[in-house]
Amino acid sequence: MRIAPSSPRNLLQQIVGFTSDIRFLRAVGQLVFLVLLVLVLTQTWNSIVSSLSARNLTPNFQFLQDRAGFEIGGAGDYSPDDPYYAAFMVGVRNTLMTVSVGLVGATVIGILGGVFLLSTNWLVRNITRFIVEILRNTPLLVQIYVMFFVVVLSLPAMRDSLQLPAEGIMPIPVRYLVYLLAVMVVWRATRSYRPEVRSAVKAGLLALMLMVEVCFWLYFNRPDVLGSLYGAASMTDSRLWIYLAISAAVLVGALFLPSALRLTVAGVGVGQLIGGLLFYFGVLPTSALRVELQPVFFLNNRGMVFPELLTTARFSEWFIYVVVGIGLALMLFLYLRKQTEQTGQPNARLPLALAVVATLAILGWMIVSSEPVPESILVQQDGQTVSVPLEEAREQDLLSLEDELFYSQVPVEVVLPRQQGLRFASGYTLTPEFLALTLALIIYTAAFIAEIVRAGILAVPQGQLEAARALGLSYSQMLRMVVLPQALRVIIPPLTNQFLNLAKNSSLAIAISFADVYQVMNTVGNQSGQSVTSIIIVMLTYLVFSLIISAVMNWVNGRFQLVTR
Amino acid sequence: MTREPIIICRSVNKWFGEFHVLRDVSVDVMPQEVVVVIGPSGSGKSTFIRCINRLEVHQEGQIIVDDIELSHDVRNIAAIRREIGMVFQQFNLFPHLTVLQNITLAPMNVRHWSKDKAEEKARELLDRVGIPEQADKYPGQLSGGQQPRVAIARALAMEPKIMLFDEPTSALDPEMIKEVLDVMKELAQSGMTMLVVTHEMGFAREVADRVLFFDMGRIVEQGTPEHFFENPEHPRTKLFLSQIL
Repeated sequence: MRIAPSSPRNLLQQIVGFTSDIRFLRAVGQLVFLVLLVLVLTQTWNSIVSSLSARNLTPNFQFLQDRAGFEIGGAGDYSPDDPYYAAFMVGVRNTLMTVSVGLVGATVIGILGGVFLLSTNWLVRNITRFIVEILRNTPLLVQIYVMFFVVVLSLPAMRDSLQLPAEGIMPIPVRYLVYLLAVMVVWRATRSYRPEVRSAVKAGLLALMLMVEVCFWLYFNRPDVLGSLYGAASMTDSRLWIYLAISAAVLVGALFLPSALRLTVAGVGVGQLIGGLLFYFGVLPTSALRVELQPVFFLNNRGMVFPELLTTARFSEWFIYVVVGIGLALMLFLYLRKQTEQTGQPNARLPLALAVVATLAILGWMIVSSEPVPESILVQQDGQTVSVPLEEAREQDLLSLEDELFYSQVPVEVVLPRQQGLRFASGYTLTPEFLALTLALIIYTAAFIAEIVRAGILAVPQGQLEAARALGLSYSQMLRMVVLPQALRVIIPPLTNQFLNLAKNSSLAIAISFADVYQVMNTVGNQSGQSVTSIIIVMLTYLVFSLIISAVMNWVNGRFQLVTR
Repeated sequence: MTREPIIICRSVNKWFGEFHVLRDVSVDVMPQEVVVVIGPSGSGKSTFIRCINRLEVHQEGQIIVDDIELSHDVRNIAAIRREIGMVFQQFNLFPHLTVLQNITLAPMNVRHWSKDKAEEKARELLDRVGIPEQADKYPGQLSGGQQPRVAIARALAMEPKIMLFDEPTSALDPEMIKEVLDVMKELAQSGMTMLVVTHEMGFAREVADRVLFFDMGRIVEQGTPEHFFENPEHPRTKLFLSQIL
């Protein structure tokens, strides 16, 4: 092979050589494309501007300061007198709320759906498959319409709202509390027992509770059968001795059963015997605690109403306790985790840490609430300032909401929804449009996420599961430590796409007139004539949303990538 | 012999659908014994050793390991798996964990050892299999011969009484096979009870106390390596040996 001469060449040769250099050609190509792009864009922009300017509609951002003049439903802090940008902010807020609730809801339901699609239960698996196929193969717009007109608008009218919990008095039998205590004690006390003894004890406790419940049911509903037996406590009653004899026979019979069943059957026999005796001697009380319930949630065709949580003047003081509690809990948690690493013994670090937070929050609440409120306050009445006792002022409705929060004794006031005629005087309302759009987006996106989760779990090779099982990891350890980290690696990139889809699909809000950013800016554009600017603002808004979602998901994705050669 | 067998199989039968994959397999394995299982592909030898830690479920017969019978009782299965280490054909290292994390995962979470103890054990084992410098790498960064050695270290970290090997060298270059077989030889000499499915006849001849020959789900012939390789009795064994030697 001949080596190219490096000797000087004449100028022409050099120029020809330079123009055939691949690096030079690439640079020229880029430059030509850039020039063409700039030309096309400036021409387009100029023609848009000139045609709009001819109608006195030069694109600008000044118009955002102008009075909006249109109503937006469900936005309490906005009025038609506010400027366009205030309307825009309401739209952004509504979109953000739909998207954030939608992302969380779709993820949770999607993961559940994915697990159901892989269930070994034939019915669960196939019903889920059927639902997913319907959702994936019908247009989202149709689903939003159905959700709005068929589901949400067919909810009961205002005056027969669904209430949760239903207003009224709920009796809680005292014996339920005894059961709860017994179950907790048995659960802890039998931990060190042999497994078969432990399961016999558990079966016995279950039999005891069942026996007592059956007796009580008969006692209350069929008094003719067992009415006279509750608390009879007579040692001479022949029925007592018959019962004892039958129970003894069951216990003796248990001895002849195969060893696997013997202990459990004996446990059940002893349990039901004790249960029957407890009833016969009237040990368990028939009384019930009466708990008065007030509705907290309302649901009707005008929306869903929640209680409002309002922070009072004392909130910041209480909040310090909570922050200190979280700090202490974090320290305790880290200390206990270190402890586990050093000794290998697992400990209940999460419950303990949560208990610390709860303790400080409750303690702080009690301390903060124990400070007295002023006996009397100053109010403006008929042009003069008078001192009125606080209680009286409250009764006479002299306090505004701000005053209430200032003079409140507790850090957070819970304002329950209160119905007044055809509206709610208090409480936080979610509009039917919001409910329909968010629900439809959640369910539609969840169907796709379910498929992604299913594929991700299936993508973990069978050998990984076998290796985990061969090492003796439990089923939950296998899922947590081997399957999930590897499945997430496959799940996250397509999941990001679905999240972006959900954010962009939220613009279908316009179909049911939900005031999201697109619906609002559409109105703004029509009304002000600044349609080009409005559309640019809408596009930039969605771009920002998408970039934020992508950035977060890329960061998450980076954490699950595998290191390879 | 006064010692009790550590693995007892009595007339084990297993079907995959219609296919009768294990037929009346009965074997006892003594503690510290090295048993090599050979046979043509599809003869059920892998299925057999996978039954011993219940990665496969046998349908008839009895398998008793270390005095615990394998049944549908999850507590028995968990107890058995703690005592049996296994090395797979594809090694099945966890790709999202470092070599050290691969080895310490089970001791820390199943045996509840402290992190320090588990890591000390892991480094000791990596030393033993000859790759102490790879502790902080990920499986994807290891060479083909290093992966099975990590898999062996991972299984040994649980301090098992029995080790199962399912064709640990069949996915390797000839050069790397020796590295892995050397580790296995050392392990056999240290007194570990081993059940090895392999096509490495040299290894079987040198290390095995006993050779089992599987065909069509049956143990056709078994005996010492000398007997097996020098004077095979069954025609099927003779045919097999004539084809591979």
